[in-house]
Amino acid sequence: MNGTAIQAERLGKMYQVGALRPGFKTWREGASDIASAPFRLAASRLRSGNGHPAGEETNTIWAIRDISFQVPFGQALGIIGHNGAGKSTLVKVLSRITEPTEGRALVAGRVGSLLEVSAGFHPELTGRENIYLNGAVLGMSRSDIRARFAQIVDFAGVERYLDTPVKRYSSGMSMRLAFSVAAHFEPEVLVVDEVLAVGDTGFHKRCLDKMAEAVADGRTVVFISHNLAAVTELCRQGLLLEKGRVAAAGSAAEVVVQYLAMGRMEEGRAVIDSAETDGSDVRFVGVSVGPPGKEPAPQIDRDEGVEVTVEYEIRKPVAGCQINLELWNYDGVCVLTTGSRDVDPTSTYREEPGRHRMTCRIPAPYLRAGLYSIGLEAAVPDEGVLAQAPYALTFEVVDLGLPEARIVESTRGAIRPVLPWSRDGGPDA
Amino acid sequence: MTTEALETTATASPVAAPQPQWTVIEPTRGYAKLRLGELWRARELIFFLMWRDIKVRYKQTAIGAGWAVVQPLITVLIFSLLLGHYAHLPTGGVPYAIFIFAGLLPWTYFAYSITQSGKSLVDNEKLITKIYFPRLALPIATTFTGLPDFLVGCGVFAVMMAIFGIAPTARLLFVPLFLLMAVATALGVGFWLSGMNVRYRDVKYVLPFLTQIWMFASPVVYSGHAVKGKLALIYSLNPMAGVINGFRWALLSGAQQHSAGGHSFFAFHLETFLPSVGVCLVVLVSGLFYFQHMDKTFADVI
Repeated sequence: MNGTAIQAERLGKMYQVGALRPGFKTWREGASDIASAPFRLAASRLRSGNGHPAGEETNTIWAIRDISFQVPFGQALGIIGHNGAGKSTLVKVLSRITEPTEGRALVAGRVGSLLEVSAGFHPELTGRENIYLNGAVLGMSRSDIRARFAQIVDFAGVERYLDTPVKRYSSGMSMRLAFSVAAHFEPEVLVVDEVLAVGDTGFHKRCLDKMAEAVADGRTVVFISHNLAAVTELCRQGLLLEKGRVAAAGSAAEVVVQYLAMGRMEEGRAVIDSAETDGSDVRFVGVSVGPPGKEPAPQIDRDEGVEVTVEYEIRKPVAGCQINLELWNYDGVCVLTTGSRDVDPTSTYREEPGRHRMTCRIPAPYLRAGLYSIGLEAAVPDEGVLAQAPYALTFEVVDLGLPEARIVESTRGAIRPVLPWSRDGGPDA
Repeated sequence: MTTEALETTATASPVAAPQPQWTVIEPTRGYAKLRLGELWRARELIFFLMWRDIKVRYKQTAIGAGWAVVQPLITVLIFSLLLGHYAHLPTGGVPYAIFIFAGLLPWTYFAYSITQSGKSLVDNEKLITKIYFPRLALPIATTFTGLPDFLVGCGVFAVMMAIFGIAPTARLLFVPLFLLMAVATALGVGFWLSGMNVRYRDVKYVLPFLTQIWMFASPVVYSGHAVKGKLALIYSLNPMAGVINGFRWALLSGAQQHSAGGHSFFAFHLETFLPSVGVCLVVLVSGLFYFQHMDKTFADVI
C-alpha cells in the first residue's frame, strides 16, 4: 500500500428500483422481512463466498459496478462521464455516505467534500454557532475550529454578521460561510463533485482554486466534473465512467480524449436514440455536422464555418414548433443557443407528420478552435418541451489558418468572431 | 512541508506516513459491528448536536426557557386536579401534587426523549444524505437534549417540596442512578424507533399512542405498588416502572405515612427492580445492534 491514498477494488452499488418508493414498506412487509431474515442470512452464508449477492431480480440496478482504481498520495484523480454514469454514486461510496454492495476501498485518513457544505447549517443559529456546528459535522475537533476560526470568518467575509442568525443571511453569504468552513477542514482526501456547483460562477471558481491549492499542498483529491479543461489541468489521472463501469482509465488527457470519442460519432453524424422520447409528438432522429455544403465531418476548419443538420420526426401535426440548438464547449460553457424561429418569432407554421430536416449555419470565422457538443430541443414557446437530445454530437473546430492567426487563441472569450471595425475620421484602416 | 523528503528518509517513523489511519469501505457481512470507538471519537459532534437542539428549542418563543418551568407545573396542576381531587388515589400520605410530580419528572424526560429521538434521523435527512458521520450521534444527542429541561423540572420540584415542607433524605443520592436508567431506556427505545422511522414513516403516527399507552402502563399518575400478584411481575418488566418507583422511593420516602402494619408505601423492591433493569439493558443493547444493522441503508432509503 506504499504511497497509495485510495485503493478501490471492484466497488459496486446496487439499488432497488420501484420496490422502495418514497412511501417505503408497510409494517406487514417489514414484519415478514424480519421473520424471514434468519433464513436469508443462512442462505447467504451457504452461498459461495465472493460471488455477487444473489437476488438480482429485474427490479435492481447497479449504479456502479467493478470500479477499481488507485490514487497515489498527493495526486488528483478526475472522474468524468455522462449524467447517470455513476459518478455521484461513486462519490457517495467513497465519502462513506452509503455502503457499497460489493468490493472494497481503502482510504488513507479522513474524506472531506467541498460541496453540499451547508447541509450542517441550522438557520436559527448564528454564523458563529454554525461554524462550530458545521465544523463538528464535517469531523473537525473543537480546537481545530477554534484555531482556524479567524481564517474561516475572514475567507467568508462575514465578520459583521457573526452573531446574526444564518436565516437572515443572503443565500450567497451562507454559501460562502459554509464553503469557508469546509475549505478549512483540510482532510487527507478531498472529494469535489463539481457538477453540484453549477450556477454560481464565483463559487465555482473558488472551488477550483481551493482544489488546486489542495493538490499543490500534496493532498489527495478526487474531482468529479464535466469541465474537461479543469480535469486535464488539475488531475494527473483520469477515470471515465459509462453506465456504472470503468470505460477508460489512465492519464487525464487520454481519458478526456476517450470521453470525447464516445460522443463523437463516425463521420460527424449521430443517430439519436429515441427510447426516451417515445410517445411524444416529436422525436429527434439524427444530427450531423460538417462544413457548409459538404459531407458531414467530425473536424471542421474554423475558416469554413459549421453547418448543423437536424433530422426529426413529427407524429402529430404541431403548430409553432421550434428547434433549439445549444452549443457547449468543453469548459462547460454554453457558447450559444439558437432557435429555428428566431428569424420569425411569430410564425405558427404547422408541421405535418413525417420526417423533417432543418439546417443551421454558423458563420466563419466565429467559433474558437476546440471541442463542442451539440444539444437539441424541440419546443413550442410558452407551451413546453416536446423532445430533448442533450450532448447529441461532438465535433471539433480546428484552426488550419496561418500560425500568426493562431495568436488569437491565447485570448479570452467563448467565441472568436471577426467583426467589422472602423476608425473614426481617418481613412479605412 | 517537505513531505517527499520525509517519505524517503524515514519510512518507519510516524511522521513519514501522511495517513493517520486507513478507512476501510466495504459492505457489512453478517451481523453489524457496533463501532463504538468511532462513536467515542464523535463525542464532540454529539455535544454540538445536543447544544444545537437545546439552543434552537425555545427560539422565537415569548417566554423562552420559561417553558421548561411552566410545562411541568401545568401538567402537575392538571393531573392533581383531575386525579387527586376526584379519583382519590392512594399516595402514602404525600400531597398528590408532589406524588405525581416525582413520577412526572422522569416520565416527561423519557417521553420527550423517545419522541425526539425517534424523529432524529428523518429530521436530519439532509445531513445523512450529504455527509458521513456516525449516525448514532443523532439519537444519542437527542436523548441528552431533554436533560436541561429535566434539571429545571428538578428545581421546580425542589421548590414545591420546600413549600409543602417535605425534607429530602439521604436516598436522594440514588436519583442519578434511576435517571441513568431512564436515559439508558430512552437511548435503547430511541435507537429502535429512529432506525425504523427511516424506512417506515408509520413510526411518526405510532409515537403519540406509544407514549400515551406507555404512560398509563407506568406508575406516573398512580402508585406502582397498586399492581399486585402475578401481574406485578409482568408490570415490572417495564423499565420505566422501575425508574418511576425508584424516583418516588428516593424522593418521597421521608415524607410518607407508614401504614398500620409498619411497611412503607415507597418501599424499594429488588425483585421488581431487577427485571426492570434487565429489560432496560436488553432494549439498549438490541437497539444498538438494530441501529447499526440498519445504518448502511439509511442514506439510500431515507
